[in-house]
Amino acid sequence: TSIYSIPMKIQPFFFENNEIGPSSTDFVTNFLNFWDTDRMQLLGLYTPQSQFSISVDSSIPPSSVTESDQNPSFGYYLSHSRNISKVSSEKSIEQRLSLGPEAMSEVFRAIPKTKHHLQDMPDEYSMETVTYPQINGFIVTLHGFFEETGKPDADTNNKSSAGRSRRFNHGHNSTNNRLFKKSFDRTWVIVPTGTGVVVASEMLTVRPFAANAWVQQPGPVPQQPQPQPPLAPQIDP
Amino acid sequence: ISNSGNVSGSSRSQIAELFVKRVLTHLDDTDPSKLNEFLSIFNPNGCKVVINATPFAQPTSFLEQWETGVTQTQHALTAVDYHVIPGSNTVVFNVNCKVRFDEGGRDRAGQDASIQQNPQQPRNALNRTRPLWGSYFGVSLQMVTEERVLNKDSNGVILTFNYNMVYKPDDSLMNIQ
Repeated sequence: TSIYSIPMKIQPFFFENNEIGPSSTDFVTNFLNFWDTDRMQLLGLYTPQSQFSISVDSSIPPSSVTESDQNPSFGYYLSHSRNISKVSSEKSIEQRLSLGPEAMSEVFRAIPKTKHHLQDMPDEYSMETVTYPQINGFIVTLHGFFEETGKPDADTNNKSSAGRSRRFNHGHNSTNNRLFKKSFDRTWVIVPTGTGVVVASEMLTVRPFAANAWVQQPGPVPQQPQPQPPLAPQIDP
Repeated sequence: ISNSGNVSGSSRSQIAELFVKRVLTHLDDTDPSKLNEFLSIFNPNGCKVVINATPFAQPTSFLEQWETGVTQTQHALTAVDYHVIPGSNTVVFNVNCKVRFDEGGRDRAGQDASIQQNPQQPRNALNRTRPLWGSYFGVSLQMVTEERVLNKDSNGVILTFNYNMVYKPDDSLMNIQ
């Protein structure tokens, strides 16, 4: 085999077993539908102990990554980012962990409105679901992109954090809050209950838009046939 | 005491980041003798390893393939977040990083993969070990670990390791599909 070939070829989906595949894809589809239309409807999924945080990965992909955004804007997210490799203030690290629905609702309203495309562009999303026996639940990770379709309902950057936001944005003043596409990685820790599910933990990484790695770009024919994903996502029409 | 029950949030965050950096350093290690050291931080009982949405039955099988089948790598951390899950003694890590590969024609051990070395030809340290790095790939990594990792105990703590490449450069020789 070539030394320039990863032994573990990239696949778009992994579900540890067939039982959690449909339920996790249903969950993600429904969740993001509400996220795009009315986030407050999601607050019932969280308990007072549930945790939510955003992490901004502002590293710019190489220009040789297809469609990569070389001038991304994170102005709406930076004041909420809990990326501990960038945020040195322990007070900020603690404050940016939202505990319970009330704290989450403030963050939900402070970041841009979005549109995901799971239904019309399912190939642009990748998902892994693994059981989590310590909580009798499972952990779902989704990778993909969303469009920023509108300014936040509550723009906290127009208040006291405006100066700080500029300082951490490397001088992109006027473009801080440009609405564009973003790539993301989102992880839910889900605990089934008798009648539904509870989200015990949710972490969202927002990063510059870039074409995803799991879609085969047009090019040379691969030397070996590609195996099919174990289970395609079930998307409601 | 923080809301999440951390006795010392500051040190725990630093320990969390250091642990993630240690994992990435292990992934980049070119010394086969360090393999067992890396393996020791995976839980020996039923640890789940998923790489590019491909499952591995044992961490050992992944690490052996990584060590023998992938050229030298260099990971750079770009984002870390973590949540302690109450009542479970576990922590979920959400990590983003980037990785690039040595595209200089050498295998992980630094040996030329295509040309038979002339034993008479002197090999200085420079041309033997300097990697020719390609462009960066984006990586999203999730880990579930035992909570004691935040007390600097990393022995057998990794319960789930989910490593996925999320973007790829067009100018890399590395084929991931």
